[in-house]
Amino acid sequence: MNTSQYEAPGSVDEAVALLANAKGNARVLAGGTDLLVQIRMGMADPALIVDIKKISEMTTVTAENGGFRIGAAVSGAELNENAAVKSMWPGIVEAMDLIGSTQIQGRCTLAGNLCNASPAADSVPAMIAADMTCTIAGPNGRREASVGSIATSPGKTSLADGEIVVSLFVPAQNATGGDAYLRFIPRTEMDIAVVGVGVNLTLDGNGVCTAARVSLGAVAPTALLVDDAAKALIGTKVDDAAMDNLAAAASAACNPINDKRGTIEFRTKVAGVIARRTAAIALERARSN
Amino acid sequence: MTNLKIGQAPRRREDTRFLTGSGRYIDDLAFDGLVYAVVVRSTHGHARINAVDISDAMKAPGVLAVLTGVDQAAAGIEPMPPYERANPHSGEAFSYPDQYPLAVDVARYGGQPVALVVAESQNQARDAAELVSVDYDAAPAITTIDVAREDPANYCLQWRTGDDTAVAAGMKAAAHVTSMLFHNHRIVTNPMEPRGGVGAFDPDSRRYTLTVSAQSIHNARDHIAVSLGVAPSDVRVVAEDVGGGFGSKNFMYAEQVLVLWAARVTGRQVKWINERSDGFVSDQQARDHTAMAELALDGEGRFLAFRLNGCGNLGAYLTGGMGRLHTDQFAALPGGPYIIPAIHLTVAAVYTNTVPIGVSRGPGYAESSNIIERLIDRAAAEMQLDRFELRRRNLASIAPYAHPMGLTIDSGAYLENFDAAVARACNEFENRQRDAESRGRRRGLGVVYHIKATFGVPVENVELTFGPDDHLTLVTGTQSIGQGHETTFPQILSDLLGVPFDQIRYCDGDTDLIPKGGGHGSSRATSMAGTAMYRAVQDIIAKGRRVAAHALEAAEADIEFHDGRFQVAGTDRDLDIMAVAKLARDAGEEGGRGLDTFHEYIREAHTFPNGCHIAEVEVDPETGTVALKRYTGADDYGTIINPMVIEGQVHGAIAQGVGQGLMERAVYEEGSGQLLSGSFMDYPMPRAADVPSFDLTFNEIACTTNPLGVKGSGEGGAIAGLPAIANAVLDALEPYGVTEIVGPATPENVWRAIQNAAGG
Amino acid sequence: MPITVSMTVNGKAVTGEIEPRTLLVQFIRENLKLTGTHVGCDTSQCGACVVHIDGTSVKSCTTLAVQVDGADVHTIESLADGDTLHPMQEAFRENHGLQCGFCTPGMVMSAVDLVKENPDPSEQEIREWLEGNLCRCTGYHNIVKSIKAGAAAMRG
Repeated sequence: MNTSQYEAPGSVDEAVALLANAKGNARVLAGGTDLLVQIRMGMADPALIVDIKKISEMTTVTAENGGFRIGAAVSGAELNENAAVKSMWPGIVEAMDLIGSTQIQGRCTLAGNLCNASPAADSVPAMIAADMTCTIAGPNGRREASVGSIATSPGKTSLADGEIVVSLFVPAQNATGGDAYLRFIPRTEMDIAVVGVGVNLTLDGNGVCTAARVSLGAVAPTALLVDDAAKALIGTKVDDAAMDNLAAAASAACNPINDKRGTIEFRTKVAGVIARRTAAIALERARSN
Repeated sequence: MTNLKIGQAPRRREDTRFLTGSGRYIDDLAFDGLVYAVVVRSTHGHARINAVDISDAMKAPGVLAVLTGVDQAAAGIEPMPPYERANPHSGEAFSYPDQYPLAVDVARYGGQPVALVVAESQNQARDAAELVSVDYDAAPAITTIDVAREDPANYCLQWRTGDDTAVAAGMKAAAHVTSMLFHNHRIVTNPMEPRGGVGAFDPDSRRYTLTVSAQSIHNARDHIAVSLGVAPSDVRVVAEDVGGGFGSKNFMYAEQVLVLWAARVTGRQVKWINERSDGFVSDQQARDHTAMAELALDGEGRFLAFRLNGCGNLGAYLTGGMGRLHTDQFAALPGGPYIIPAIHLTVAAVYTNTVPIGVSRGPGYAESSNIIERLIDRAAAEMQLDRFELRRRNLASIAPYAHPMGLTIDSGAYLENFDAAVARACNEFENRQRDAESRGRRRGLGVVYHIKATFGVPVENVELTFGPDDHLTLVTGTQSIGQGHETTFPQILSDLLGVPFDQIRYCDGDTDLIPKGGGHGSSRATSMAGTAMYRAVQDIIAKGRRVAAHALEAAEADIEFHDGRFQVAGTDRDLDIMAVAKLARDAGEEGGRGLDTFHEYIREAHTFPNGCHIAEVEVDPETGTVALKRYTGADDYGTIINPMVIEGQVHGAIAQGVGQGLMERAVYEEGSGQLLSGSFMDYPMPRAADVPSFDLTFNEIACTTNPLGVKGSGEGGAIAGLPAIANAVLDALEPYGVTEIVGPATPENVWRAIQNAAGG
Repeated sequence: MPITVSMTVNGKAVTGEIEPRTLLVQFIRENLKLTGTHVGCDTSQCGACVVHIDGTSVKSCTTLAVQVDGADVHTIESLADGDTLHPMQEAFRENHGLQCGFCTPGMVMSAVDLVKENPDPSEQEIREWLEGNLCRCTGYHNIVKSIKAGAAAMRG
C-alpha cells in the first residue's frame, strides 16, 4: 500500500486538475467504502486519493426539470432521507439502500457504486431502468453520458484519465409510472447480488403499459438494458402472460459469470423469477400513482 | 458482600471491562520495544519451493530480520509435533509428514508459512513482506477425500472397530436396510478476534514468553517447547482476554513458534496479528468428512445394526489432537442416543493440499450425529413410518446405558426431552404450513437428538489460596475465553465455601501460575475444574475443622461446617472461614500453607450433555431460498451453575450449527488448491437476520459421575444444527420428491435439488 | 509524506502526524491508544470497529483518518459516565448480550445509533440493523434482547 498523497479539493476544476496530473495513478474517494477495502485487500494501490466530499456541487441534491440532480458524493443515507426523491423513485432509493450495512450507508454513493464498475453493483440496474444520465467533468470540459455507458467491463469505465462524475440526473417520473428494484442474494442483505433487476414502467388510463425499461445486473460483465423484457410488458395489462414473457426475456438475456456465487443455469432461472417479482412491485406502484 | 448459590444468575464480572472498551485482547496490550512480524504465506496449494529470495526485503526500511525455512535447521527449530501420535485404542502409530513452522522445500497448502518478516513498524513489515520473492514450481493439489483415498500414501490412519459379525447378522435379519452417502462439508470457525501473539526471549534466564490469543495454553507450551528444542519449563505462555476460539485456538500454530524464534534473533518483543484473510488460510478449519452408512431395521422400525465407513480430510498436516478426534470422539457414540445393539465402524483419515483441519464446536459428534439423524429420516420415508415415532421407538430410555462402543452414559431423560421439544415445536405447525403455502412457500420441520461425551485434556488442577487481604484466589488450568468462568467458578466456590462472591478472585491463562492445565475444549472446563474445586473444598473444610476445633477448644468431630462458618455443634460458638484461614496461616498449619489447597483431578468419567433440537424452515421453491423461522430445544446439561450463561452457550452453538446448515462452506478450487471462500465477502457468516430467537428449555438431570452434577454445555447446537436444517429442508420439499441436499442449504443447492427431483 | 489531522475524540481535541493511508481505526488504536475499537476483518464486514462520527455510526476500518479531519469522533470508551454504564451498556450486561466481548464495542455503538434513529425498534428491525455486525458467540439472541431493553431504558 503506497498511497502517499491525499487531497480534498474544494472545486470540481481542482479535482480534475489533480486527477489529470496524476496520470492514472489516482483514485477518486467519494465514501471510500469500496476503495478502502480494495486497497486493504491489495486490489488497488493508488499513489493519490482525491476526496470529493468537500466539493459542494457534488454533495447536494437539487430539483431540476421535474427530476433531481444528485451530487456524486451524496451518500446512501442522505438519499434515503430525501423524501421527494424517495417518493418519486422508490426503486432507486431501495437499490441504494441495499449497498452495505447501516455503517456503510453513511458513506457509500451512487456515483461510487457506478464508477466501481462491478457487474453486480446494486444501484446501477435501478438507475438504468430510470434512464438516468450523469455529468462528467474532465480536462476538456464537461459532457453528459447515460448511466448505462459508464461501466465497460468489470472494474473498467469509459471515463478518460482525469475525468470524474460530478452528478447524476434522474428525470421526472411519469404521472402513472412506477419503479422497483429487487436483487437475489445467497442469503439476506449486503452480499454481492447474484441477480439484480430494475423495472420502470408506465400505465395509461386503462392500465395498459405504455412504456417500460428493464435492466439486469450481475448476469453479464456490465448491467444490461433488456429491450425484449420491456417489449414483453409494453402494450399489455401486465397480466400473467406478459409476466411469463418478461421472465423468459430476462432469462434469455443472461450472460452470467459462472463463479462460485451462482452457476449459469441457476442465475438464468432466478433472473426470470426476480424480474417477474420486481415488475409486480413496479406495477403496484404505477397503479397507485 | 453476598454469598452466591449454584443455580443463580449473577451478571458477569468480565462484562464491565468488555463493555467499556477495557478488554485486554492480544492486540490491545502494550509491550516495550515492540517490533512487528508479518508472515509470508504460500500462494500455491501445492508447490516445490526452489528458493526464497529475501535480499530486497532485508534492504527495506525498518527490517530487522527475515526468517526462512532454510534458517530453521541452523536455529535448532524442530517440527511441530502432533499432540496425539498413535491410536489410543490400537496403539497403531499415525502416519504423518513433518510440519516445520516454515515450509522448507515444499508447500503443502495455500497459506502455509514460508517466511517471517520482522520490522520496526507494522507497515514496514507489510511492505517488506511483499518484497520476499519465492520461486515456486506449482504442483497439482489434491483437495478432496475421494481423490486423496486413491493413493495409500495419503492415509494417516485406518482402523476398524466394533462387532462386524453382529452387524452382518443384524443386516441379514433386517426387514429394511437404509444406506446413505454423506459429506459433512468443511467450515472455517472464525472467532471474531483473529489469532495473534507476542514473543519475548530473556537472554539471562534463556526463557521464552509467548503472550497469545489461544485457548489451551499448557498444551501449547509443551509442544511449542518441542519445536523450539527446549524444555517446557523454558517456555511461559500467557493468555489474557481471548476473543473466542470455539476449538480453532485449541492446538499450537506455527506463528507461535516463529515469534519466539524471532524474539531470540532480534532481541526484541515481536508481535504478529493475523488479518482476517490470513485467518482464512491459516486457522485450523473443521469437519470435511465423508461416510457411507447403513442402518438395519426390523419390521417395527427397531434399529438392529449400524455400519459406518468414514474418512476425514485432515488437510495438509496432522495437527494437535486430530488423530484422537477420529479414534475417540468420532468413534465414541455412533448412533447417538438410540439403542443399536450392533455397531461397526471403519475409521480413516487422509491428507490433502488444504488448510489443516482442527476442531470446532462439537467435533466428531457433529459428524456422527448428522449421519444417524439423517439416516433415520431417510429410513422413515422409505418404510413409510413417522419419523418422530421412529425416534421415540429407538431412544434409549434406561440410565445408566452401556453404549456398545464402550462408554457408559450415566444419566439422561431422552424421551422426556424429545417429547418436550416436539410438543412446543409442533404446536400449530399445520397453521404456519398452510399460511406459507398460501404465499407459495413450503414449511418443514427437522428434528435431531444430539449427544456428546465430553473429552478434552483428562487432567485438571486448581489452586485455592486464602490471601492476607481476606480474599480467596482461585487459579485454574482451564481457561475462560468468553464462557464466563471468571464469574461462574467464583460462584461455585461461593456456594461450596460460603465465601462472599466479591471476595473470590479468579486467575487463569498463565502457565507459570499453575503447572498443568487442560484449557478449554470439548466442554470440559466446568466438569473438570468444578470437580477439582469441589475436592479441594473438601480438603479445605477438613483442614479448617482441625484448626477451628483447636481455636474453639472443641473436639474436631463436633465441628460442623455450613454457610462459610465452622461451628461447634449445638452451640453458638463459631468461626468464619476467613478467620480460620488466617488462624491456620498464622499458626503455620499444613507446613505453612494453612488452608491453601492444590488439587489435581484426573478424569474418572465423561459427561453426556444431550437434548432434542427442532428447526422449522420456510423454503421459497422458485429461488431455493431457505429461511430459518423457529428453533426449539429441550436440553440436559446436568446441574446448571448459571442459567444465564448456559443459555448463552447454547445460543451461540445453535447459530454456528445452523450456519453450517444454511450457508457456511469452505470451498477449494480443484487442481490449484486455492481457497475460494477466503474472506467474509465469500464465506457467509450467520448474521442477526439469518436466525430467529431460540425457544429453549433445560431439564436438569444431574450427572452422577461428578460431584457438581454438571455436563458440558457448549456444543449441542453446533452438533444438531446441520442435520436439523437438512432434515427440515427435506421435509419442506417432500412434495417435490427431494430426498437429499448436499452441502449447506444455499439457494442454489436447494433449487438444484428441486430441479433434479423433477427429472431436470 | 506525513500529513496532520485534527479532530475531537471523546470530547478531547487531538492532533496527529500520520501517513495519508492511515485508517481511522489505526489512528484511534495506535496513535490515541484507545484499544476498545477492534479490528475483526479486512473487508468491512464484521463491524467490531464501529465508532460514531458526528453522531452517526461508521466503520472506522473503511474510513481514512484524514477523511474525518475536523470531525467529532466518539468511541466505546466515551459511552459510560464515569463508573455509570450507558443504558445500552447496562442492558448488554444485564441481558448477557456478550460473551467473549470482542464484537461488543461495535455492537453497542451500532445499537446506540439505532435507538437514536428508531427509539422503539422491533426485533426484526434490530436484526436488520445489525447486518453489519458479526458475532460468533451469542447467536444474536441476547444481543437482540439487550438492544430492546437498552432502547426501553434510553426512552426512559
